[in-house]
Amino acid sequence: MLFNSLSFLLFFPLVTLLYFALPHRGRWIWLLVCSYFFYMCWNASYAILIATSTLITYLSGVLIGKANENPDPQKAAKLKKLWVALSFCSNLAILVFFKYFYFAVDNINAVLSALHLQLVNPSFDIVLPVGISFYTFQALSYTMDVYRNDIRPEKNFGKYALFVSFFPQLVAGPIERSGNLLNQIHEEHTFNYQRMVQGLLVMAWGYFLKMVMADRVAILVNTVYNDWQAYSSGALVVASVLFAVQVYCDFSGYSYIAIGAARIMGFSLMDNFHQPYYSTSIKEFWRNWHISLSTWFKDYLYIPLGGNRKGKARTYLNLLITFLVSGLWHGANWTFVIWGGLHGLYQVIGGLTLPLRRKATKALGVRTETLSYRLMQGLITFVLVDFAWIFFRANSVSDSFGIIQRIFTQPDFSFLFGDGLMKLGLAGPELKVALLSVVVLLVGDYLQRKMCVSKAIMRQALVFRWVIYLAIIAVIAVFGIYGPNFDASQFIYFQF
Amino acid sequence: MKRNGFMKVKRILCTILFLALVVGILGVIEQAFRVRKPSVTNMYEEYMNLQENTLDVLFLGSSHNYYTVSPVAIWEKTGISSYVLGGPSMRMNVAAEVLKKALKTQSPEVVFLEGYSLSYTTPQTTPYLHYIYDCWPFSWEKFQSVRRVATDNEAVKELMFPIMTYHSRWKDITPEEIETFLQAEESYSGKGHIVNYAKSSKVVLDGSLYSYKREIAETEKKALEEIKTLCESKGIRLVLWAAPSGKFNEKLANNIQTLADAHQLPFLNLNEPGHIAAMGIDVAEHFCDTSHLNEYGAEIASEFLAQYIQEMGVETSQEFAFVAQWEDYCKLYHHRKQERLLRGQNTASKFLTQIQNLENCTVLFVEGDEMTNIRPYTSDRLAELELLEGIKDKKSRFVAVMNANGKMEVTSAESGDTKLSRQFGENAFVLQTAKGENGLGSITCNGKELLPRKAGLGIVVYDNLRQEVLISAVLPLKSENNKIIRAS
Repeated sequence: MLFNSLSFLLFFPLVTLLYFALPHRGRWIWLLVCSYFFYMCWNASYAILIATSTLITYLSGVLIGKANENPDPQKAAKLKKLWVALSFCSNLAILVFFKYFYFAVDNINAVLSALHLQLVNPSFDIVLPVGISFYTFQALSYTMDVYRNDIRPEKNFGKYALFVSFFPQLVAGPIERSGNLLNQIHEEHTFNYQRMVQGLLVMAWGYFLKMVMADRVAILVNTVYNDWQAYSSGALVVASVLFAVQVYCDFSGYSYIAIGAARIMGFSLMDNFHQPYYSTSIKEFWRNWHISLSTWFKDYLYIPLGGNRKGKARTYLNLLITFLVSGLWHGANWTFVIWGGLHGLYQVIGGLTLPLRRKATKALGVRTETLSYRLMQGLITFVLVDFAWIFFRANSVSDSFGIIQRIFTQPDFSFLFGDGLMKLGLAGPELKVALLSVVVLLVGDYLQRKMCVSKAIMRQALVFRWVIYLAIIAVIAVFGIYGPNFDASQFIYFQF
Repeated sequence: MKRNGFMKVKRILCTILFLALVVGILGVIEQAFRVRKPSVTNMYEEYMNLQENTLDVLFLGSSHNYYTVSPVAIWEKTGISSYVLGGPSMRMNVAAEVLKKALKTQSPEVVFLEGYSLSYTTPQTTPYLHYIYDCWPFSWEKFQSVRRVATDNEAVKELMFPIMTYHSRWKDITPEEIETFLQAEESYSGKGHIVNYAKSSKVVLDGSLYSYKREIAETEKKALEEIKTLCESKGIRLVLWAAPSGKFNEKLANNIQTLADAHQLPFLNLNEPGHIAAMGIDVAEHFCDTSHLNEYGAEIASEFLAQYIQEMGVETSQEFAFVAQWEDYCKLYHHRKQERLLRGQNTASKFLTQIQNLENCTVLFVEGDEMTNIRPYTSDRLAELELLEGIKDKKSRFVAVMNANGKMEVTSAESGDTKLSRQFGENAFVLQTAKGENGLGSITCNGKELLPRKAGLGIVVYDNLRQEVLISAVLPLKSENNKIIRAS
């Protein structure tokens, strides 16, 4: 069930109405049933996987909790490590099998082929379960939090199962922490009108980003990237820039819908994006992009690896490892690994050259607090991020390098003059709407940096507020990409 | 406590009002963006607005049905009130659904079911179902009906919420469509009849154009049974019939006859040579394509059907007030028909030729330039049409103005005084002096300029029966190939 489907527009109000109609003690059961129903709409058998993951991490939490009670600290530590290791290994084994099996087979076959040996030919099909990376990471974070004594093990299996499967953020995050969401599952949420309105506004912004922007821009991006040899370097640059817009709108759109939906029901999910394209460095970009994942990797991989506590060389190595794994988390393809590696490399180079850059700016008397300097930094950051997006979007590594080669060795921007832009899959009026939407996005993000836009709107007079609400609904209804001519493209991040 | 209670009520009311506004806006968007083909959708919209129990005969079926049957022709011959409901390639199960809905508001004496619908096997496509279901109000009844005929769940959603289909038309909407929507123009479908004046020369009626060899599908037989049962339960006579078509063959005719015999239903096959001859169907003149009759063919086929209906003993049960409505409707029908015929002409000579065929109309000509320029091809015809005396000889320009009392005044440009007047039927037209901008003639009616200020021969056609302007146009002066410029 996609957020941008009619089914969800019927499902969500029904779930919410009954949620508030039920007594507190029955609400979590209702949400659990609805969450599993939501997930099973894709494929009912997927529920077995999420249930397995839930059971393993729940039991590991219980066992770690019991180990904590062991009077022998050494034995307790050993037992805790055993249970956490078992939880991680079994969960990651499921993830690796379902997500990376074919990737592994392809790579093994590439090696076998080079050695002229017989290729591996699996006799079964594996379908990637939707959102497996998200709920696996969320469940693992619980195990780790219990292991670190950050939280007490959850006793109620049902409520824990709801924590893992909570439908608004089940398939594409934000990847919640037990300290935040699990506690909220225990709390009683009364209906709050203001909160509902704010949640709906956040959802509307998410729908705008996804349906009006991401899916519209995707038409152009897909046209160019799926047949990149037919397009000039200028078209490839335009498509790459617009992919940056697409992936941001697609993913943040999902996150906003999830956050808004949860808020209506009284749950507060963590923010996942803080206007990342306004960042002035790669480091800042990762503080603002997919925050729930980047903090997950920081807390559960980078810091356990030693973080920045073991010298510079080790810090950079840890960074590289973290970003390579992050890349692999995004998809079973070398393009994602390179994408992650590039971001790791950016940060390593950024760290290494920082003293030099500081000296240079000082020597040249550059005023780093000026708007122009920050604009330049923002532009450079965007270019670096967008360059990496080429690997993220391209269909293969060879395509990525082909695109980059064409952009840098055959510069041709002549298509910008005349009707070249119209020949990239988006007709004139559609392109105008897409470009206008980008302006709306930039303005919206800028305002969001300065204030909470939804709250600011809610402070306005009733008539003005309603005009805004109705205008947003009308814009999405008219300019949204949906309906029978729409190839119901899923949210990009579902595949992760 | 009281304040909290008041706030709660206020918020509930606000929420209801807001949701109503949202539904309203989405409804307006859907209506505004809906494909406004003046055809099948209008047929259903108009049916929904019919006064209850005002039909004697209902025709049901595929495109053959609505191209062939002209309820106006049937009314004018027999005084029997009929209506056509159908859809392109309409399957029998869809016909059954349409009939169920149709019989909620009407109780005809006879239902004519076009047999071509029995020949289909592929599911009804969703776009075709849109024609039928778009004007059904959102309801449980619609949902149940859609579920029975839609190909899949996606189609059900699409048909229940047509905005899903039409919203993406925002970039294709023409100013004309917006104008039509804003003006909420009187919908018109010819009582379900689709008018087509095209002529096809590729028609043969020996069945060679159609390779139909199948037996009638069980699904269609089942749907026919359902239709028959429904008709029987309401005391309605059911007649199977087949419209004249180049794509009708003996196999299909035999299949329908067998089925009709099995169900003890009459089968009127208008493709039989005897009927074709009796109607006077000329394949070169009476088909718009290889399958369907054009308007000329429809008129003669409908007269034949009217006779058949009379022979069945069907008599009109309509009251006098309704008869008056039908008379008005017939006027509208002929008005639109004549307008359509004129609009279909794309050269000056064809336009002028068509003008000679008009009935119950007044034609007003205004010079847009020196009259001498148009003489080579219009002067004789102007004389034939008994034009305003003196106009063709004057090298002056005129502006005609319709008075509040419905009189059109036309005055010569030079003097400013009323010089000419002439009675056309019950309508007095008076010429009034004025000078058009840029030295070009123009005609205004109730403040609305009817002719663009372009050089040429300005023509305004006035429908004497409907007492309204039918069409206005400027014909090019020097070349017959120049495009006709129309203001309305």
